[in-house]
Amino acid sequence: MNVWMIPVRALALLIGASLVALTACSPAGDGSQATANAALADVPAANPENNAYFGVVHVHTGWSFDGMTNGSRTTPMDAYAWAQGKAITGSGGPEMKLNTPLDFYMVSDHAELMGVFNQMTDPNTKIGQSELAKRVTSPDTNTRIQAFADVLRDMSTGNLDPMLTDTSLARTVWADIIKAADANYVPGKFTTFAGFEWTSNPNKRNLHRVVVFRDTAKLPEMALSALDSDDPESLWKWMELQRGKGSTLFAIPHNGNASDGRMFELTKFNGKPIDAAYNATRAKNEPLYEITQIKGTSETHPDLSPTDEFAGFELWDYTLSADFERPTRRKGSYVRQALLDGMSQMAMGNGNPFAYGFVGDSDTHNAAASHEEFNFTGKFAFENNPKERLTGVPGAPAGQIRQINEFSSAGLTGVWAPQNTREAIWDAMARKETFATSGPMMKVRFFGSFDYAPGLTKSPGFIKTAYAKGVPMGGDLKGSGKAPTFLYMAVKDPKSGNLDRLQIVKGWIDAAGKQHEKVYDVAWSGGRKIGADGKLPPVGNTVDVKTATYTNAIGETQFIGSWTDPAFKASERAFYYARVIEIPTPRWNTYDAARMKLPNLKTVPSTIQERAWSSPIWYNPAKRT
Amino acid sequence: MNFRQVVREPLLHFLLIGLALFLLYGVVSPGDFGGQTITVSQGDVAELRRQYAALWGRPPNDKELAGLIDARVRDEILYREGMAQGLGEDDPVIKRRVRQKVEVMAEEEGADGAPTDAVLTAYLQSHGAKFAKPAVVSFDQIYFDPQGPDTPESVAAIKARLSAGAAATGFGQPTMLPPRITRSDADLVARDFGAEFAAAVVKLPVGQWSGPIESGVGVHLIRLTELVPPKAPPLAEVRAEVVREWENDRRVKASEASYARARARYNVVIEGQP
Repeated sequence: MNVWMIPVRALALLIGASLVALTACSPAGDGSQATANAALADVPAANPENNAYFGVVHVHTGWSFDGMTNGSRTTPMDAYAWAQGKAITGSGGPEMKLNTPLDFYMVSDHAELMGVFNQMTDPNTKIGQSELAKRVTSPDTNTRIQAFADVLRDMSTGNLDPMLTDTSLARTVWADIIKAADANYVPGKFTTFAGFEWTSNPNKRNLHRVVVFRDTAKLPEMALSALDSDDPESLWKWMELQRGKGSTLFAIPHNGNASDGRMFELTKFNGKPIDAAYNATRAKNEPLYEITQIKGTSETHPDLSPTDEFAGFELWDYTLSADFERPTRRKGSYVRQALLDGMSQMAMGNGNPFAYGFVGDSDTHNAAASHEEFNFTGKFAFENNPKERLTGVPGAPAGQIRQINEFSSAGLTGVWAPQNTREAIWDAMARKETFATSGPMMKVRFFGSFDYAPGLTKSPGFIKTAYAKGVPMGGDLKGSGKAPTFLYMAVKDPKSGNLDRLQIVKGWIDAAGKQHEKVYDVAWSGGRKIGADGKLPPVGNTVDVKTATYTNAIGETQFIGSWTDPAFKASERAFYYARVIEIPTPRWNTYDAARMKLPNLKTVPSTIQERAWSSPIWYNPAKRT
Repeated sequence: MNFRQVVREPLLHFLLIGLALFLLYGVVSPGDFGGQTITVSQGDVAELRRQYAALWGRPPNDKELAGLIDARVRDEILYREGMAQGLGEDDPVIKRRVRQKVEVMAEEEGADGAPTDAVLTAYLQSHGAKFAKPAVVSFDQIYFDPQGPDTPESVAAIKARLSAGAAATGFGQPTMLPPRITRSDADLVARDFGAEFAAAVVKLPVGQWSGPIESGVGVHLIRLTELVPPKAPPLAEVRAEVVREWENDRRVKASEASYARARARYNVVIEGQP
């Protein structure tokens, strides 16, 4: 580590956002660190049938303005250390450490108010020998404070030393974030990405997107801030500009549940109806949607899916307003409805703007994604104090305490990729061969085809055939036929509960253009029978709330099989995705209450049925000639 | 009106207080009477242009530049208005921000250059567990579903056939777990099969069929084919990690020491407590 990085870090934080003016700089990141790591690492050969890798790409640290103001002292380096299983400083509470290391991770600090600073990397340079540098590095605290104050004053009067704006010396916090990603990338073992969050909040409605770059060889000089424009179309325009300059990137929207109908609305930001051009641009830039994270799950809402008995899962039914405002619009806020609306757009000849694959993610503001229910450390740093996350910060309004109690432990993304490298994982995400979980490391595979032979999953090596004759999750069924067959596979996380059931969720548009959805139970544990009401009885519940324990006496460890759509019509466009549900296990508040011998919360459930969602497979009827 | 009456005149008091405030204001804000001037310098404008160009690959047009300048002026005016109304006082966000600045400066105290190899080696030795490399294993596995058709007897019979040289195909039930694990860290084995399973696998003899061993998903017969035991790596292999952890430690200690010194200068009274 270079001695000069230390005072410079301080300078960054002290000057912070006010130095935004000093942004002209050389492109950040050259990937050289990654190359060096690659040479050291023993990268296992690519598996053509793909392996499951787990990780998240939506992580804030103390370098996000709201991470810092909520007490986080963490850095991107801390975040990457945590993801690799190292204990890190637990701002606001005890040290944080996860049980099972992740395969990939990305720090996505907010672009808004991302501080900018000069990185004086070489003490032999002119700036390293300057009077200012001597004062900045003085052992006397007061001298350093005065030096920073002088820089701030010079900036506000426009008299900044030209040396500080020298483009060859200027570096940004963005560059430091990239550096942390490169320093922690170990191809074959642990993948990191460069990225940021674009935080558009029109009228406290959540239109946030996380931007993920495929490599660090070609990156923009600055991350785009939503302070300039709230309109997602301006983000996509900027992304296209970066492609022109050699970057490869996509954006992942999240928390439609907190958008009050705006995330998937059928109008543009300016109120005009969406059209073919908008839909194509959106689909190109946004292959994935974050279906679950700490601020709730936005698969569907009971108001939208009244016959889906598992629809009311971990809803976080608020806007981002400080007064705990409830959203009123369900349509436009949840992704299952968006999948239907996307197909309706397609039926109108506009193309599909919402052909989303699914990922699960965190949105932590304290470096640790915190997806392990039994090891939850909260979203903001003050929630890392287990008592405060349960009973609230003393003096906090009841509405805020309730919002925090309703936070979920984080979700997780699974990707099916040939190896653990940036390219392989990013590409798998871009083609939507992903599944989301509400936290556990359960694995789900889902394939569809008109050409699978009966009993295929019983023959050894069937994965190869599954790829050769069909498409994996995230794909479009090829051709047509009597009815498509879907192969499903799910295996439990050995650290978590057994599996209750596997369902296939189908949505379709009929000849009259009407939208429909239906949830099929296709595999379940314990020889239960579907009742006269068409419902599979509940799996039972072994949770002892007092001690926060459960047993795996109920449930199955895996489901493997195939399912053929019994109501297929070749003329109706449709989507299908698998949903896998665990047996009940304790929710994080139950673990906290048991550990601290405090009464459990009455405002949120004591137990949770963790789950996974595969990305959908779509069927589009061939155009009539 | 005599002198006594004049001195008691409320209007005079009012004027004198006003004059005092006026003079005091002059002392505390030299050269900026009333604070009514907002100057956007040529340097500021140039920076706004440069920032815009860095983002969009072209300089702003006149209308866009006017918008940027307007936003800058609005920021400054509303900031001054708010500060004048005392809105910055006792604001928890501002308090946290200032606290963070102080803590960051404290962390830099005693930072005197990159650590030497001797320092890092000592740190590595005293924190060995933090940097240990897990065991690496390769093995073949056959999965038996606990609810499946096999019994302990049939599994034992299959193991006997495998040990006699039978090929490892056609036994057990299909599973998503791969039949062959190649050079996997023991912690990744723990993720897929459970911690107890991973702990058991590294104790198996290499080159022969073992088990049955229970995992989080069922029962397995295992042939361990390769075992690289866990090791304490030399500094060269983990230098970056050791520097990162050492630096983190140093920051935490410096910050705590600085707080302890500051804390000693204060008398803290918590009302309602003795």
